[in-house]
Amino acid sequence: MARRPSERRNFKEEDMELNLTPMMNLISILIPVLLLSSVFVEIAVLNVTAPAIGSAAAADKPPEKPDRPPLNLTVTITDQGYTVAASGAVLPGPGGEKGPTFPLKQSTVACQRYVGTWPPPRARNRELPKCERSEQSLQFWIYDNEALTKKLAEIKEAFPDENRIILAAEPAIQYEAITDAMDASREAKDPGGDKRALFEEVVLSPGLS
Amino acid sequence: MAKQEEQQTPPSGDELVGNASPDPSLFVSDGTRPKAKRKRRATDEGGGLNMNSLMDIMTILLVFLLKSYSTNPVQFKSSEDLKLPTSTAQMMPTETTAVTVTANGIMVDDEPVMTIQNAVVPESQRSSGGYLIDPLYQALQLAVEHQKKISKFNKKLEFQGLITIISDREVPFSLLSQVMYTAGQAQFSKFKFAVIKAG
Repeated sequence: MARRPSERRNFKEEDMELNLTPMMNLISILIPVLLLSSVFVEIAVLNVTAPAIGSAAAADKPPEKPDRPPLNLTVTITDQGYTVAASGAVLPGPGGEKGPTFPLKQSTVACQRYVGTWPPPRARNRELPKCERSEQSLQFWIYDNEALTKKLAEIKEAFPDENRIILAAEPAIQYEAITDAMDASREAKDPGGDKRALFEEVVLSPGLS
Repeated sequence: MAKQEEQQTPPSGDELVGNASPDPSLFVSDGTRPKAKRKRRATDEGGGLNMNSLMDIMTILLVFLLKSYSTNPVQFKSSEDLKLPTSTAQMMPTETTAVTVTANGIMVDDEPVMTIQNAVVPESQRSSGGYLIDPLYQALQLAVEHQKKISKFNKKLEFQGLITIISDREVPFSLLSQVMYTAGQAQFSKFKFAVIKAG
């Protein structure tokens, strides 16, 4: 580069620094974008097999196992509670043959998971005040998951080979109630804290309409 | 009287401000040279912020974010109408076709398929006894064809009929069973329900 004569003599080597400004611009835009778009929750999945009603895939593939006389353990989720049935017999509940095996119960629920809404069954809880803050604990009607888990653990002991459970639900039952029932029927926690697998193969049967 | 007082106050305030504001002549008379010198020296040094450490932080953050962004096979954007239920399930999600179901619409692999209202698909868009959702069926068939085409050339990616259902926790089972039936008709037989891992 040509320099003026005065500069030629007095020229000092200046510290050449990389101009980081464009890089900074890029990074400071990319970081908020990625922060906003990424979700810091861990996702897991629940395995569910298809409903029995004719799925095309069932015709393509041979059945996995010839069906032994099955237990046909069925948990039906209604807006009244859980009804447990197996091979045609229904476990009677406190309300007799007609009522659900495990009716809804009133209980104090921690609001952490339900900020701005109610725990399921929401149709029943709608009249009650919503969860507003996550530290709250409020009275709600809830499905009796503990009783279901306990009963299923008993059934599992009687039928250790059985691994399949059929879940059925009324059309209006919300998805969250179904995943809660799956959780309750997948594993039991022993008092010692050990987890025991119960019925891991969930078949979601189509509506009860 | 009161009015007069009010009118009088503003000028008095102005006077005060005028008195309080520094008189330039005072500063000039009081040692101009040292001040000017110091100022010039400061500007000569550039006074640039040292950004190196900041850059380090940001680069590490960027790498971390990019990494976490790319490793998660199930991507969903949490919004008012898409809140996943919480579960104790531990199974890791896998890369599959994903159907997102909310009360306001259905998406297949982040492509909106249809909009619905109040989690009810209108009768006109359903067939087979009201269970098969037609637009969803067409979208899923495309996805199946696409996957089968890929598996022709890459034997590792065999079509297994796996489908991930990402659904809002308040979606009623009626809509969910229609979606599942439709997926079943489109040869997806194994469902994976995406949930948020608890604890």
